[in-house]
Amino acid sequence: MNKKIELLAPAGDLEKLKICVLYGADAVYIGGKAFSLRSASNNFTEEEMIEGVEFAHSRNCKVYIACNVYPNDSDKEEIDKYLLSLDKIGVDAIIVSSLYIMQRAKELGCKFELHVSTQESSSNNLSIDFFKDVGATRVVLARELTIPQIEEVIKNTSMEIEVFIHGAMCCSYSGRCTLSNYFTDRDANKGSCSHPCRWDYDIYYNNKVLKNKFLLGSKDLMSVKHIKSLIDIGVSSLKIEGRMKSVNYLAHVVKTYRKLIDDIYEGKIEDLNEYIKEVEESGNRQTTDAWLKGYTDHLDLIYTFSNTPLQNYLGMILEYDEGTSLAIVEMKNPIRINEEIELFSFDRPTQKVIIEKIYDPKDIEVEMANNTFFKYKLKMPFKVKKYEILRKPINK
Amino acid sequence: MEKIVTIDSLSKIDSYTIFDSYLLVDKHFSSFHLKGLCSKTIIRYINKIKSLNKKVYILIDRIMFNDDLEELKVYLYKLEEKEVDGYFFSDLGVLSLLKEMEILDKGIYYSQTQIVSSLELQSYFNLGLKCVFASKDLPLESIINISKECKVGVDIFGYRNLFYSRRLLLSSYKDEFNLNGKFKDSGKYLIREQKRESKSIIFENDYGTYVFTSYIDNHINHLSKFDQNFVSMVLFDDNFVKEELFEKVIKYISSPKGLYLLSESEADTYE
Repeated sequence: MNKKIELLAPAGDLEKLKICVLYGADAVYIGGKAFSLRSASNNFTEEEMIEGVEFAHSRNCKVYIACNVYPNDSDKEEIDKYLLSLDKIGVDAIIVSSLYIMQRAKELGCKFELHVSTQESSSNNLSIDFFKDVGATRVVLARELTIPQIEEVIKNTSMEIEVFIHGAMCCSYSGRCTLSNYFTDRDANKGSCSHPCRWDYDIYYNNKVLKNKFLLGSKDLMSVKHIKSLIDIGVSSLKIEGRMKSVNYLAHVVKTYRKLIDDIYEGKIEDLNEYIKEVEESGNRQTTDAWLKGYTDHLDLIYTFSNTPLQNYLGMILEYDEGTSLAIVEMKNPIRINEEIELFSFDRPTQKVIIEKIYDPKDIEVEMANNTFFKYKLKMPFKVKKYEILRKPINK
Repeated sequence: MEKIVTIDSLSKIDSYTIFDSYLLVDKHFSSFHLKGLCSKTIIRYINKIKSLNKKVYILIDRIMFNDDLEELKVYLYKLEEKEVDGYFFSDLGVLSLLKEMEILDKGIYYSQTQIVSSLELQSYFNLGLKCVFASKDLPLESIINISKECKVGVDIFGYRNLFYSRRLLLSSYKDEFNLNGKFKDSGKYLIREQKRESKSIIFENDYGTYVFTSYIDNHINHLSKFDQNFVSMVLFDDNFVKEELFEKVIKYISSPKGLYLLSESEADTYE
């Protein structure tokens, strides 16, 4: 095998960037306050970007900036300023859709790489060649390619190829859907998609209702079964979707794929179901391996029901005092004293934990931490670290 | 300003002569047209169309995979023998192919969603293309502003495509409906978001599923404004449009200026 494959994770804010880096990402992608899709995410100020880049680089992790909107004419000056500021910060690449922005970055002499966004729906070698001529070094392929198609693309290019492996998917070809613009005046290609593909529709035939509750929305992608194949065919980077996802999601998904990749390289894979269980721990949507498995039953792709929300995630360690053994946790779900839970960590195996004492935000000892989003102090039986996660045991 | 009309069946060749140019819908390489012409028919009829003094463009705007482009290359060489005037495309692989064949100046970039500014338009146009079309969902004012800055193509009349998926969404529900319906290539299906009144066309073919607006985008009454600026091409698309309505469009184009206007209300829904 050549250079080790990269695990690329999304980070909607600085805290999530640190989570992704600590839990094993080789690279993270983030958005600034402008020019990025996912405008509902917190995104990064310039100061946060500087801190994030320093944090990541000090741990041998790269930082890519999503700069993947199509700009308006009025954005001309701001784009130049933005690109130069990114260059000064020292980001490793921008993820870009606009040909104008690609060309401008080159004209300004920016040192970061150009990675072509999946918004371009690149599905063939000739479109990849187009971007190579523009100066890009990597293309994020459309999600509609099968593994044999991806392999063929890789064989016929010297560009790096990046493939989505996990997370939400557009039902439409990326960048080709304006349902959101049409229904809600929110421009999907400017980061404001209102996800109308997830609404309920009726289908009519000759003006008579054929089907109530027809669904356009897509299941989420989950490709644990195909990671070895993607490594073997020479994919450069495996991308996790989700700049708006929670810290719990990111920690579980990043760590699981990290372990999976490392185990594949070391020839230690036994049972893929263990990895599947861990990634599914973090989400509650139906999943599919979609086009990666080939051109199969389209019904497999369609999201047909909502799972009930998982309540396994208890909270993340925000602070820990060694003297008192108290960890401060912002609770996401209730927990009782003496309840057996687990500590999920970025640098040690998952361990069982029994919380002996709980103190509420007023430092009153209580039997249960049951107010979500309140910060409780939990007496831990052993030393814990910031960014480790408490969860209920998952069903094995 | 060149007035172009989509031609997806042979009967229209003699009916649409009022337009300057014809955009032949290739059934295999285009995306969301209900009807289309097969490649052999196109090659056979180019000479006839040229004898009518019409320019001939070919619509090849589907998103393509490697094997599609290999097939397209062979086809393009045959079309070039017939001296086709240009190619409407949306996949940048096709741009690379046109460049390889040294006919980039016949390319018309027709991406439908990406060209939202003169910055973007100029970037593509400066590659050496014949024309670049503005994004279909731009408001009229934006189109006019772009057209003041640079040469642009504009969709002037037709149902706008909102959604283009590789998934065959209608066929996927065949078993759930327990029907033996003809899902592919049928213009009889409509979709309605449950909280809204209007119904939109949903159409499926071998290459995917498409959803359209419930109304026709109609900028015909602004033709004179476009003519004053840098609009070099305007496209009339009769995909799903009722015949009697499109006849009014033809009447408008045929009439001297000011004598006949196509009112907004006449551009009714597909129903």
